[in-house]
Amino acid sequence: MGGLQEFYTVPDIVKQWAHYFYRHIRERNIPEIQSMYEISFLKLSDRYYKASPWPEVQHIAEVVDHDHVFCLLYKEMYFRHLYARCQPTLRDRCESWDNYIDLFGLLLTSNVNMQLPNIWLWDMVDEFLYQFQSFCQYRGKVQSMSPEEIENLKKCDKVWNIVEVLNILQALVDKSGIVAELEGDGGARLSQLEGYYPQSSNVLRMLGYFALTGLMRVHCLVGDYFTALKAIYPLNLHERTHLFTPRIPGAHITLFYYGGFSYLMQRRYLDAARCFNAVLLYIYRVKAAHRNSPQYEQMLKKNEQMYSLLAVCLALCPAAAKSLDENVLMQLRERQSDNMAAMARGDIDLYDSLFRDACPKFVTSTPPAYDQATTNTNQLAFRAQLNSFLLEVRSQQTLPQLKQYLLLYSSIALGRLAALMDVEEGALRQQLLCLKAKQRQLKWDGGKDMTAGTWTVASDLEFHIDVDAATGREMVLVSDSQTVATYAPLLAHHISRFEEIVRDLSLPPPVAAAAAAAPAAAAAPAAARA
Amino acid sequence: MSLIVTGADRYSPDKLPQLEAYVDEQVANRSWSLDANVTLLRFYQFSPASVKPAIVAKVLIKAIMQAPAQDYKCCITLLPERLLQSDESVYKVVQLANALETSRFGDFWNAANTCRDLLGGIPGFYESVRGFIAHTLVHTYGRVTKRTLADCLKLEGATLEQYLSEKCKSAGWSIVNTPAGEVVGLPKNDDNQSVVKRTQELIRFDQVAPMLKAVTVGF
Repeated sequence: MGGLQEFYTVPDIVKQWAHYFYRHIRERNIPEIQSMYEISFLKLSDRYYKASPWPEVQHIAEVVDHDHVFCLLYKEMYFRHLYARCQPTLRDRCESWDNYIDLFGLLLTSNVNMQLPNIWLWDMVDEFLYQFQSFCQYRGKVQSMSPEEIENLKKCDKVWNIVEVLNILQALVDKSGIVAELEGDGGARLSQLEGYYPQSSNVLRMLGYFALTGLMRVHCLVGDYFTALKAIYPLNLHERTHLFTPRIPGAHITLFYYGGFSYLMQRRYLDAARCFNAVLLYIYRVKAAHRNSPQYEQMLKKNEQMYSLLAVCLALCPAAAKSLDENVLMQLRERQSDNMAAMARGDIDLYDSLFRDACPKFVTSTPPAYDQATTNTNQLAFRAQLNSFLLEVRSQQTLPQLKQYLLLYSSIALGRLAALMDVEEGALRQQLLCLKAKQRQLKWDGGKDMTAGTWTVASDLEFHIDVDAATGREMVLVSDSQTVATYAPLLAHHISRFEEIVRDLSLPPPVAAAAAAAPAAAAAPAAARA
Repeated sequence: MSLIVTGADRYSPDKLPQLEAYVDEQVANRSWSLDANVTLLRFYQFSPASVKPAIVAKVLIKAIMQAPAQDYKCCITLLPERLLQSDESVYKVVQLANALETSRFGDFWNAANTCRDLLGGIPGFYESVRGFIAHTLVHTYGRVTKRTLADCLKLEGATLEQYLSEKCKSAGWSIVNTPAGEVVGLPKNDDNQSVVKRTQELIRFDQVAPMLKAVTVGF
């Protein structure tokens, strides 16, 4: 130890931090652990390790009794910081992977008697997957690597392997017994006690809970949208009463982003819009309280991405607008009204660019052929998903124009409409059938299986075809669309707004109120939208 | 046999042969398990060396047969584009699916004609696809000419008549005589007749209660 110190000194205050952090973890002092984890660690990082890694674990081991578990936890934070502030090398990536294997392995097999802040447990799952994605991106760039690096990379076929990643997440879910618990009471106890049950550790339970979201994310990243929606069972994005995730914005946003995206890719625009609506409203309500959080930027980025995705949903299925909250709709118009008008005209390039900006970072799940790789293989997975999405968009491309024509008539002979539109009768018949088919989609209507639903007609235009008995000609009949003004939701909304204003006016001055309102604000959306 | 893959087995390559055998079983006894087939395609994505294009083609054909359910969409996004373009059978099946998805039934039948051997090996394929096409028609047409039916379903003469008489017996179709000749009446549903929809406005008392309290409190 003495020899090392000559080359590398750890500031006393950092040693102290490690020491007290360790002690608080031993004493299961959640508020102190959380504060040191969320605040002191960042402050020290800014002061001493702005662009360099924290001390390696052996430099602080002495002040923490060489505690094995603590060292694993410390390394988890060490690598997270390294990924955020420095450029990880292949060695770092491998060591961080080994550390996660050791840490999760330990938590899965031994009965650890710890309490850790839920935010940390979420961050672990989140970071684990971030590093997985990062590794996939890294290995895809073979053409920019030295032969030596490629040789080393070839030896790491287990490291950040997707099957191993899925196995770990699945093991966390299975071993934690979270599925049985959520099936039992729908998550009521967990959400009420925030996972901290008396006389029992929260660690495995909450890791299992967050691993459900993790599984959804991985399946979504490889284009398996069906399994993604199945993976979070028995959680359900439509029933949010006992959902715990609103307490941790990152967890809540991740859950709904991947959920909404998976619905979108399965042509279930009503369900997708519903998911995005719920979480956008949530962000709108909580973002002020998280202005100083390190996750704030990320939160705003996801916010914009989801408004883009929502714009896509509405362009492909205008009827989905009916289910949106007035506030979300207003924000959407502010950001995307030009884009939405262009998409309604069938502008494919715009769909393309919105998808590009807002889609998840898909991973190519297999390593490139190292010896013959000439192109970046990371694009393969992204291209496949983009093309699959654009295929769907193209199949609907002519429909907006068709609708414009139909709006002009209450009944018209198919042949005449074809002549007006300057298309073949057969082609028009095909478009009409296609329009009808595309207006039908599955919509979730109860139950814990998010992939279930009933067929619903989501249309802003009703029509059918009949044969004129006298002439034998096919007639397109457009139903009278009676626009009934709907006042009730508007009034109800303004009543609640009015209530809020009255309540705000009667509150104590803002400084004291802001502190008191923050936790309440985070909890409110779940209850309010349930 | 019903193959249920759960827990840790879900990602274990040991299950691969079983899942592949299960595809043939589903083909033979006209059954379908989306969960099992998605698991198989996931294995294929994760280990490209083990891909058997013939099995992929079978899974995709079976998935098409589930329409209007979106099972084909669930499967196709799992497959690398290279595979979809390099294998001839898989490529053809994708063309079939794209034609059906956009109601280009004429194109569908033309394409189906070029891979009769492939489709002939899947019992119930034509039946299922005609079922889907009929489903689309029933949700669009109140009455339909025999010509349109014949074109969409690719049935002519005696086979069309037989199809129609079965539908008249089992699904509520009817042959209607009109001055312009015989047309086929399809069962009524919300989509194929004029309906004026009126949305009823409902407002719950608890939504207005605070307002009532607020406006009456001064009195």
